[in-house]
Amino acid sequence: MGESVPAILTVPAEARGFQGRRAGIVSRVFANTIDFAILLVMLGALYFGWSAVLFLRRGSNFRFPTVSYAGAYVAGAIVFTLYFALTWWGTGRTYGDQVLGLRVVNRKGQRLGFWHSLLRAVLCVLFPLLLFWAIVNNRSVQDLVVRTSVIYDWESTPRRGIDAQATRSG
Amino acid sequence: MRIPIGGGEGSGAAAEPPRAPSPPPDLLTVAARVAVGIVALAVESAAQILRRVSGSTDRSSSNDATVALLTGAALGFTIEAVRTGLSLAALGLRTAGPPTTFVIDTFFDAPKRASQDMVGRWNETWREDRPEARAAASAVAVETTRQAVDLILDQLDLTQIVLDHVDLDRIISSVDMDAVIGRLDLDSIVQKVDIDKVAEGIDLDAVAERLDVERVVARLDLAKLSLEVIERIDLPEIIRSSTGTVASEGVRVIRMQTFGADRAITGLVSRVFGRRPPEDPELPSGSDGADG
Repeated sequence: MGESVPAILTVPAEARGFQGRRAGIVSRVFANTIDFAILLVMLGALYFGWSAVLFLRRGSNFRFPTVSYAGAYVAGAIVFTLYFALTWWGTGRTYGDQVLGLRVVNRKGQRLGFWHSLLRAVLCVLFPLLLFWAIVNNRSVQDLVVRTSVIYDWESTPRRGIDAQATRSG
Repeated sequence: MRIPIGGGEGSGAAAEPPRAPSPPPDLLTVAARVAVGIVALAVESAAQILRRVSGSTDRSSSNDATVALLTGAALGFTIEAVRTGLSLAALGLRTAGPPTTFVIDTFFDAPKRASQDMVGRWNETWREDRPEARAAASAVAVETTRQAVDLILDQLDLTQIVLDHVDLDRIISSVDMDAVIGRLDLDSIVQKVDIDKVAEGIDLDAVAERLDVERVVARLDLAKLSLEVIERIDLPEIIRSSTGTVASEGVRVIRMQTFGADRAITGLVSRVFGRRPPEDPELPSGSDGADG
């Protein structure tokens, strides 16, 4: 494809004006809500999967395993952290981000590296309420600490780095 | 079979002595000859018709010859009688002429001169009125002729007559069209034409409507063109990304609504903190220095 040919935007016309801008709190909360629902589904799947393993091993002595709040919280935290880290590292977006059209990028507007996304995931899981700092300036405390941003990005493929952003900053 | 009137014509002609050159026959003699000739022709024709009607053949040729002989004799006698009568009359006139002339000149001179005067006057009148009379007469003649011609032409399809009877191809082929065109000064004719005015009179819209644009388009190799365009814009990639971008209309609505909510909250917060509402929020790239 020649460089003289402009790339055709696949984003709907009404959404093109704010592509690449930092997302507001409502979008991020909605995205996290969806991700939390997915977490519950994953935890349930883990529980029933573990139960199936126990059923196969114990047979008639099988009983559904009891899970303490602490154990559930720890398991949930681990699953959530891994979920966040892997999705941010892989595609830059969780499923909630995908639905809301968001993407997590570093200060250069690029996808995060693995450790970068893992650090951000740990901070987000440990201090979820710090997300609401985004009300003030569309950046959570975690964003400020690890120098990331959550932007509107409706395109399916990751944005092409800082150049795309810089063109909009003019 | 024709039997000429006058029997023994062949032998009679040979026996006839050569005629002395007679003086030119006078009017009466000619008239008598004509009358006798007409009678002879009539009788001859009648006899022939009668023969045909009665279906008679050569058997009765002797009777016919007799009748013809008698008829010829009668006619010859008639001519002789007329000649003799005429000679006598001429003799009488020559004898009685001078005294009669004298008497007539003596007694009828005055009336003659009077009549000559009258005739002269009438002639003079005719000479005076001649131009008017001729004009009127010619006008009448012209009008009459015109009406007559119209009447005739109404009954005739002249075009059809020409088409039927005139070889137009031959006429046209006999015309030297090159010579005709050579005699035309086409340049001066063209110069007399006001092209601008002609162009104004042309309804270009109507012309454009008559243009077969579809045919022009059909001559373009649209398939090749399309392939080229698709190759240059990487259409498959566009399809992949666009189908992934907006999974459904519902997702799009959710995204737009949450974006609206984001903006509302941002505006509210900006007012609370006394900041200018971010019309154009800063970008997440490091170049804006917002990370510090």
